[in-house]
Amino acid sequence: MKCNLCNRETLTNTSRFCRYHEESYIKLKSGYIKWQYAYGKLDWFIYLEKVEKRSETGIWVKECCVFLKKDKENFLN
Amino acid sequence: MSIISNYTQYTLVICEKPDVAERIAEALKEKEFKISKYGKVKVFFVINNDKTYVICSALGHLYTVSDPLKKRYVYPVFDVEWFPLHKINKKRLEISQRIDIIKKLAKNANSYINACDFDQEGETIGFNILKYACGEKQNLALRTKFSTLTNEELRTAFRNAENGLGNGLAKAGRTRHIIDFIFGINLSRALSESYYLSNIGYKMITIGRVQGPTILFVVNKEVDIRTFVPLPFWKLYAKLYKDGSILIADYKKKRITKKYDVQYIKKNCRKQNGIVTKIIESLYNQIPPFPFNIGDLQKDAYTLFGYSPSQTMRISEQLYLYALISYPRTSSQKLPPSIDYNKILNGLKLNKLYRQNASEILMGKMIPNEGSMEDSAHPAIFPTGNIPKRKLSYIEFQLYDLIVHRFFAVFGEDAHKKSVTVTVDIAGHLFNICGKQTLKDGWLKYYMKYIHIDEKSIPEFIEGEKLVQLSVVSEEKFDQPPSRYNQRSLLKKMEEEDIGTKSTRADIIKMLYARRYISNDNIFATDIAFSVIEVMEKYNPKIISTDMTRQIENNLEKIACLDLDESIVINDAVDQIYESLLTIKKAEKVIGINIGQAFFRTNIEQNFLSSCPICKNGTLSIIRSNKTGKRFVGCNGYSEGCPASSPLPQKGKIIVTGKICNFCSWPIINIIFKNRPWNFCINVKCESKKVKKDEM
Repeated sequence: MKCNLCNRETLTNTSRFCRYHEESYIKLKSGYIKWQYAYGKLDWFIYLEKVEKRSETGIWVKECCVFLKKDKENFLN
Repeated sequence: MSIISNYTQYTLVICEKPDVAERIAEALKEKEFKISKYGKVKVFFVINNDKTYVICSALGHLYTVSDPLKKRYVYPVFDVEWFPLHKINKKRLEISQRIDIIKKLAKNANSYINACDFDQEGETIGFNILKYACGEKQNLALRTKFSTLTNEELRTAFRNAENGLGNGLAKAGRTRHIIDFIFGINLSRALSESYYLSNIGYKMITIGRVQGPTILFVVNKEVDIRTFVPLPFWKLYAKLYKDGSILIADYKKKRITKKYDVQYIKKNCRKQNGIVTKIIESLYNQIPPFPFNIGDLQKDAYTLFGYSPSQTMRISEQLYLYALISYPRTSSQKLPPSIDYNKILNGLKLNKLYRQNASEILMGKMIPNEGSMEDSAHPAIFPTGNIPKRKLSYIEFQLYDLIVHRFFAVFGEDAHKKSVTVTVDIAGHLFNICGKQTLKDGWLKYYMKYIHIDEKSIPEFIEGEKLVQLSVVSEEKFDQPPSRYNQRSLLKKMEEEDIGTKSTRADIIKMLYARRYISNDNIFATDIAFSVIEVMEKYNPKIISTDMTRQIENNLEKIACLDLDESIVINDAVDQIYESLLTIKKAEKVIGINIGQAFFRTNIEQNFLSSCPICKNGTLSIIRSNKTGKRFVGCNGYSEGCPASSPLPQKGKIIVTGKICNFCSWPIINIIFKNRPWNFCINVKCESKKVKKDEM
């Protein structure tokens, strides 16, 4: 299985990402808890939007954000 | 060999470099020495104490390890032999003449002295020449040991030359070459062959015992940066008013991780004045720095002057050859009294730039502040006290001046400093005003030029004093991603992890740039680096582990101390690599495709300039012509008829700026040639160029 974001193999047959994008995704999720603590209530998709815009954010995390934001579009459609 | 026929009994002296041979001849001569030139090779004839010395030199290594079969695609290779360098590297033809001359000189010699640098590499160079060019004289030869090229030290070294001094070092050096060759040739051939089998073409892909872990450091850092999620935090400051000036006090917690807390503190502090509740003054000493070893010198030269580690190594070796500094390839942080501090400082006193500092230190106790690192062969780097006989170039002077000032600094007294922390209470919230002051310069006065002194003076306070609060300000911040390695910090990491040697680390980093595993001054790992590391992790994780390479370094140390037999270490290395070569062989094609794709992506990434301003669909990138080898800019829509192309200067380093020309929308690039940067639009027909011509 190929990663949804690059050409690398996924970690397992069920995962969507390669090792690097999976690591980014895990860090995004743990970051979300800390951002929620920092700002109070924070919607997941708004969080993704904010993280993606920051210049400090890693390129693979940004790619994850773009991909995960599409989930919302998928839900809405 | 006209002059040589006049001599029948002489001692043949083997030096590592031509300049060293000349300096030795200069030091040993009683009246004058004779020089014979054979092509480009100089041989010196000197009489000293009724003994005749014939001094010749190598050019670094004259012999190298290689594969006797010399079949580029064949691996594994475990049978290796030493060959004259020119037989392996056809570009080094001058080596052939040098070896021939040494062979002829060796025929009439009745004794031999190995005067190469006293370290593993020097010992290996001397050993191989005595073994192969002089006919197995390595066990008969005497060995000199010197750390500077001053006349006195060289004469003493020749008086005290002894037999068998560097046997262990030679064994360790030769073993290192063999192991590195076995690792390098097999893994590099395996990867290159895999690449070739994927039908993309042939490319030299190298990986080695030290290269592997070093690439891994950079790749790991790149992963940390690319997977970085910034976390928010806040900083709080209070602006306070005292005696006509505004003071900034930091909130006691450096980072506040909750926005609500910030708002709460600000609300509480509103319109409240501060009271000084505590004043803590502390006095402390700042001890002088340690003497330079090569690693520290390379790191400081990078920070202060921007010299790469290999550049620093080159310049410092030049200074050593001028007899201005001691042997630079040392890991020692010790300056033993035997180097004669008095003589060095009196020598430096003759230079008006250093007169005052040297005189001051001569009047002191003259005890250097030494570090813990030792090197059995050489002391730390120190100036010899000789006055430069020729004008130093700017970069040579910068490095020399740094070494001299460091030498002064290690003899300096401790600097005395005072730090003051004033705690101000505003409505129960504590803020700190901090100050720092130097009370006594000590060693700092000798090193002022090369050190940043962090000073902040604050007014006098008394406990219970009231301060008017002007405002409490918050600042939203985000964590920064880890800093990329630069050449300095990568070198430091290699030192910390104990991989490579003081002499080879700089060259390894240079090699990683040449092989395109890394790019930029702030080091990026390329896709090629990722791809090679992924292959190695899968098929030979040991080669990129620091444990293995560190283990080999430890074993080499034991060989140098004659505590371990070299055959055990070589056989162990062969066993380690054999298994992994088998697994790579089975997966050659897949590996080749992966690495090939990585090369393709890296090429695009590194050579991409901008989207094409002519066809609007393609992209402009730097292309190298297969026919002529020249570089130019072209559009990848060329096959669809896009005519966009432009010549490029063939010399200099191209840096992609990412900027677009305001006149024609073509990319602007930066070329660095002879240290001079030059920005220009690559479009030859650009209007901006016409404007400049018209102005002229």
